[in-house]
Amino acid sequence: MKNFLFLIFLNLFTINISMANSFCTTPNSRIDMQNVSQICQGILENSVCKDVPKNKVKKCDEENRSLNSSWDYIQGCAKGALDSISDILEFISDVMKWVWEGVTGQKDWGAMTEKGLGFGESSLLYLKTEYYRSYEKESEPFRETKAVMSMGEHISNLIITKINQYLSKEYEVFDQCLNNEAKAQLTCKFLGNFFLPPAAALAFLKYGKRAFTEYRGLEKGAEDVKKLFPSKESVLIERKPKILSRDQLDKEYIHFQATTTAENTAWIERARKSELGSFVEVENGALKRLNDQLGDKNLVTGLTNLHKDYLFERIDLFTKKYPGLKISKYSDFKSSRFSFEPKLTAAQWEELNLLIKESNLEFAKKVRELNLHPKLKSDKIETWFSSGFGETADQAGVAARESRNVARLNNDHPISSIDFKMIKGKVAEHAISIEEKRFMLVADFSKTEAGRKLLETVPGTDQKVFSREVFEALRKGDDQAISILDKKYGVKLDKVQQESLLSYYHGVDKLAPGIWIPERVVANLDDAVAGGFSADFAGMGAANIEQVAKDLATHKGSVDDLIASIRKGEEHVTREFESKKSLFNSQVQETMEKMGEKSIVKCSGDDCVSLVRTSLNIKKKKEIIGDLMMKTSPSSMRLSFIPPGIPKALRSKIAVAGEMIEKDLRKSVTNLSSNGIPPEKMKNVMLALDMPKGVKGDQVNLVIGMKGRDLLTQREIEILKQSFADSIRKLRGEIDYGDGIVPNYQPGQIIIVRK
Amino acid sequence: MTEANGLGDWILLEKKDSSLVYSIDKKSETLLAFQKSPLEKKKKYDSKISKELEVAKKRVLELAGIKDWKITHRQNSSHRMEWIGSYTNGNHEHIYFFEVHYISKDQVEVQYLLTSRQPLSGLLLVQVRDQEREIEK
Repeated sequence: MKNFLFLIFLNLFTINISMANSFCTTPNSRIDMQNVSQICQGILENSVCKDVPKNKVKKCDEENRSLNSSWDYIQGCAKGALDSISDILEFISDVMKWVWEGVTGQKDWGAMTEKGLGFGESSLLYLKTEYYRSYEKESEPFRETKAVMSMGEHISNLIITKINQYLSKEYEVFDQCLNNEAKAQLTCKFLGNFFLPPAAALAFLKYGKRAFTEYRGLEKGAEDVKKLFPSKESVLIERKPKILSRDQLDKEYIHFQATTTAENTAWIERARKSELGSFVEVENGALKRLNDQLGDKNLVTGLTNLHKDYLFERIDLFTKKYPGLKISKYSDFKSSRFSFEPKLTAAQWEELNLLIKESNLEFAKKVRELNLHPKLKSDKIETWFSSGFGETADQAGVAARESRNVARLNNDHPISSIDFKMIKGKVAEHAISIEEKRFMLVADFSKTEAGRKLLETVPGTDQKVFSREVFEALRKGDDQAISILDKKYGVKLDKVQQESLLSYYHGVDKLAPGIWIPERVVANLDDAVAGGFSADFAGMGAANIEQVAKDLATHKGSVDDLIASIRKGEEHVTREFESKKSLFNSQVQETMEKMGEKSIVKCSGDDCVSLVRTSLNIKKKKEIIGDLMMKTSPSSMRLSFIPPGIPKALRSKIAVAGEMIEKDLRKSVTNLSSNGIPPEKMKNVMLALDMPKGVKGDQVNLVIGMKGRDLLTQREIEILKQSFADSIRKLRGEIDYGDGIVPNYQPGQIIIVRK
Repeated sequence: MTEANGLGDWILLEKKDSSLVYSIDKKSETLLAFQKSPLEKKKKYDSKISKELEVAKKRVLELAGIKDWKITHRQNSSHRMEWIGSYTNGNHEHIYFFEVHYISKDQVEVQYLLTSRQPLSGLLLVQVRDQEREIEK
């Protein structure tokens, strides 16, 4: 249905443009513009418009075409809200049925049994074939919406006309006072409130305001819309939907976008400039831990976005209070960033600090009330989000991470935002101390064969740093890291060395740069009706930290220079991962084409999903795994296949469960003991999970991809088989799909792909 | 256009409740949508579909961007109705259709619609009719 809303928004946009064009180009219309302008001015000054805030009042000399300015808003409102296409087709079909009733006088399709059962009803079949025909022709983005466009145009025109009639009749200000942007915002709100469920939309279309008596939701929606009409007071009315359940959280916040792509791009442009300014960063420092612990990416995404809603609302109030401040905003899956011009005063910084703290507390209270997951009960939710201020975006980022570290050291006690100025000297000392630790650790690692294997020389220098594998291990957590280095790589460290290494790692991590992404792509399997697979690219975080370690090892100059050079290093790593994702995309498309199949690939930060049009049999899955293995580093991605027939809400969760099994299995088998498989071999092994549709005692299959036909011995395959059963067992109790669904998987077949 | 050799070659695009959508070829040139609904009691068709109902159907299809819908060939009986015709879709393409309604032995009403950018060959219609029982399963 939301897809249909987007279609309506598009229509709203194009209708206004076309109206403007016809108005301006009709040769017979000789409008005295000066006169019109005077009348318009008179209306704006009357009592109806007097309470409308200046930024929402129309300008009498503005052309209708200025709706361009709200395009970002309309796009932002609809983007990411792509929902079930079958809902839209059914809705169109319902409208058609209503028209059929009007034309034939028949109560419904079925009432015409004796004259030709289903003759009218088969109209839905036309919709379906036309939809798929159109879909084939269209391209991303908004492919589904574009596909439905050609058949929804007439109906969306009907709806817009109906809404505008209603709004104009009920609220004088709508037509008389509001500029196009404010009108579009209201229409957006109106649609959101009224047009779900489709039956209510249809009732409104049929009966207008009279439908309120039948659909209580409509009446409530009308009340909400009334509040949305701008007055000085209503601008400050809380706009957040009331979230009372997991379903509502998913619906409102999984696809929530606090900023548009254009806003993110503008912020990035500002951040890359060398002039100093006022920057703020707020990040979910607990994101990775929560994803790992809860095994429910949608929940973590929803909560992170809910926090954004609280935060951005307060920031909006702040900027309204200081109309002279120009703000740039940025948002991605983890962080929210802001820059202000001119630079903020000390009092304004203080105010911002307070409002960020309030957002955290308000958010924590809400999450506790919601009681969404048993593991969140004892979590210190108010410390999930840390924040920092700086004169550059990277300084704010470093300060935010310092805030996270300080909170951690204080037993997760919430702390205020940290200003980079206050920690600049500390950062310089910090960099020196990190490097001292590196010298000592490199000397220690160089003493053994196993240790030397984990060191590499920074190209063009004589400086040695740790390889990516070490940072990957360190990212698993302190205790696990030491155990991995010992069991997986045969490096035994004494207590002092262990502490030194962990301290070195946390020190480097503190300087890691944030990732700036203009467009947030939600890559989940929610739309994978016919199944599909997810690919999680391992090691992106580790690659970033490895790069920072290299920058620190080769840097000579001030702290400001160091932070700038780390940003350059980040750009290098981002290019590396972009190329991995692009390689994955092209390889999947190539393999699919080879097999006569089609798929849609979507990628976000460090994972991709592939949605297939027809379900994949094991032969095809093996083909995909084989091809990907040959084109990439087999251990660099975790593949998890899901079959068709899984309810929408569970698709991504089941794929994540597969990724978790891979993670645990790889970790438990990769070691140098007699019961393990050496890391060098495991680098060339891809472990893909073939997840079942059911969750109660259903079997999970493991596909072992070997790059090198005889890479693994029979015994090593046996080790994988045994450990696979253990990893499945461990998953029980670790994962809860919600609504009382706790999976109880069983180990299934082991399938080998040799290349 | 690739013509279907059997159900196995068709690409299933959608399967929901009692409706199915197939692409007969790989480029969705020719599509088949299928639906079945239970009958409450034994029914039979009135083989004379009135002109008014055809006009009504044409009108509701226009709401979905389908214009100039017309039947060019009819074959109606008390248990089976078939129409061949054409229309112009919302993307201004000329489309040929084959719409079938029949009451099956299992007392369900089955309706399916074959649409294509290409004129529908006799062979294709025969093949689609041959697959009716397969799809019903």
